[in-house]
Amino acid sequence: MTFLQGILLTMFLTACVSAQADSRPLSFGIVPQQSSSRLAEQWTPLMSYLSERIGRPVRFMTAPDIPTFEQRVLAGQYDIAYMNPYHYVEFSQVPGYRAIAREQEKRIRGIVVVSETDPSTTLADLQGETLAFPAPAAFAATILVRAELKRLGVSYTPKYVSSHDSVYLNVSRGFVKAGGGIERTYAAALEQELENVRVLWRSPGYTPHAFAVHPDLPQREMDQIGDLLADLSKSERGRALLERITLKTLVRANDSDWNDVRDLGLEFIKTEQTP
Amino acid sequence: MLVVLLYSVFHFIDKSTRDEVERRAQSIARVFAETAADDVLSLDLASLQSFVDEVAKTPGTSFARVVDYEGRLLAEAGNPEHLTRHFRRSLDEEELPSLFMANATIVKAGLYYGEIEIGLDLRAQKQSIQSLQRNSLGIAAVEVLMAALFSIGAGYYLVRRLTRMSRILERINAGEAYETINDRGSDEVGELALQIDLVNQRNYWEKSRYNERIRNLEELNRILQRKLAEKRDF
Repeated sequence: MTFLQGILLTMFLTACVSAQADSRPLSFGIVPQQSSSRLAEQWTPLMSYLSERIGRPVRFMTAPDIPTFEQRVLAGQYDIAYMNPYHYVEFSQVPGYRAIAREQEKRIRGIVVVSETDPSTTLADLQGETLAFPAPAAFAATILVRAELKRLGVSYTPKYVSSHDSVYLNVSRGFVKAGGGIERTYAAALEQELENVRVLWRSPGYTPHAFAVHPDLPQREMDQIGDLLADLSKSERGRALLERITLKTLVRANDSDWNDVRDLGLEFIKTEQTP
Repeated sequence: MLVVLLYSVFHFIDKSTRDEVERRAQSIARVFAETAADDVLSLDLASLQSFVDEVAKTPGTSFARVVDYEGRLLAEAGNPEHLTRHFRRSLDEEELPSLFMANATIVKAGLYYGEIEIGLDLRAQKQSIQSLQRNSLGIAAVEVLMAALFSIGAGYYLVRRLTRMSRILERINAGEAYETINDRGSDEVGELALQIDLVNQRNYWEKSRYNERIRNLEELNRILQRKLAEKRDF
């Protein structure tokens, strides 16, 4: 074999390996905020759209629960992931996910609710009480509220009751002094005839969930996917896809967009629960 | 006729059983697929394995298997021998197999995510059907035998009476002594025998009357002859 033949063979084999790698489906992990079936119904059309546009299959993936999702993101199992702001802050460090898109206008906020007859006027009045939260990793309803309580030096006993509705009912029936939630689920609960609950405190708005890619994904594909997501609102089909996943206009994102979340200093969560 | 009837019944049993098994198998597979969908989508393999373990324990279910969109095995459980068989849907097969295989896909928003394959062990059902067929054939055979025996008995009984009637009538026709059939049967043959006996009795009576008249006439004739002879002597 001549030197030239060797070079050609090497180039051929490299091309084959490269082609094989490019045909591998991209895994797109979605944070499990709803049942997997419902998430699949909502997100699969977007996956199909991305597959068409980048010429490579994009597969919907999720996890049975938040801790498993966190483990998988931490293990770098997803090429692309849609995660809450706290997750992004964590996983942008290890394994180094890079933000590519987020909702343009949305700001994520948490609220604290108490009974209508409760005399509390500030979060400081909750000192020593039992507070209800939906789940440890719920960013707005749990993490933002707990961060503020920590900043104020308020000590309390957290009680996790599975869902936002359960938080409001626990407060309404006087089982707990107060609870963490978000505006949207609180408004929905009021429509479902929730009574005897009022909002005590609203958090500032924070950068919402992140679309991020694995650090091993080539820059070219990262940009391509980020642009495709940011351009969704420019077409009829894209707007329908966004509506299906209940998101509004997306824009390209930078890692620094989540500095407001980083500034919260959320180390206390690491000591109490995953991640 | 009986063979045609039996064939039709067996064919109907086969078809209705096959239809029912197909319907049941597809329903089970669909329900299992719906139930397993969340675990497949979230790749919760531990829950999926627990699920197929439970499915495989369901009475009548031989095995359950879940594969993803690339055909990779996610979980399986059940009869080890059946699990090694190549999966092939059993729908529209001519004969009901002992191991009926069915599957249902997990599709979300039109995209295929995997499928669940199940095997139903139909050996007990097939044995029941075969037992039913054997029993039906046995009953039919006994019925045919009974019908034959009854026909032979009834024929012998009827022919014996008719033969007796015929012989008696032959003797009557030959002018032998008065004789009645005296059949005690209450059926049509008995009725016929009774009517023949009445006709015979009437004929016998008529014949007796006729003979008596003849005798009377002969007596009168003798008296007349004697009177005439006495007149001539005067």
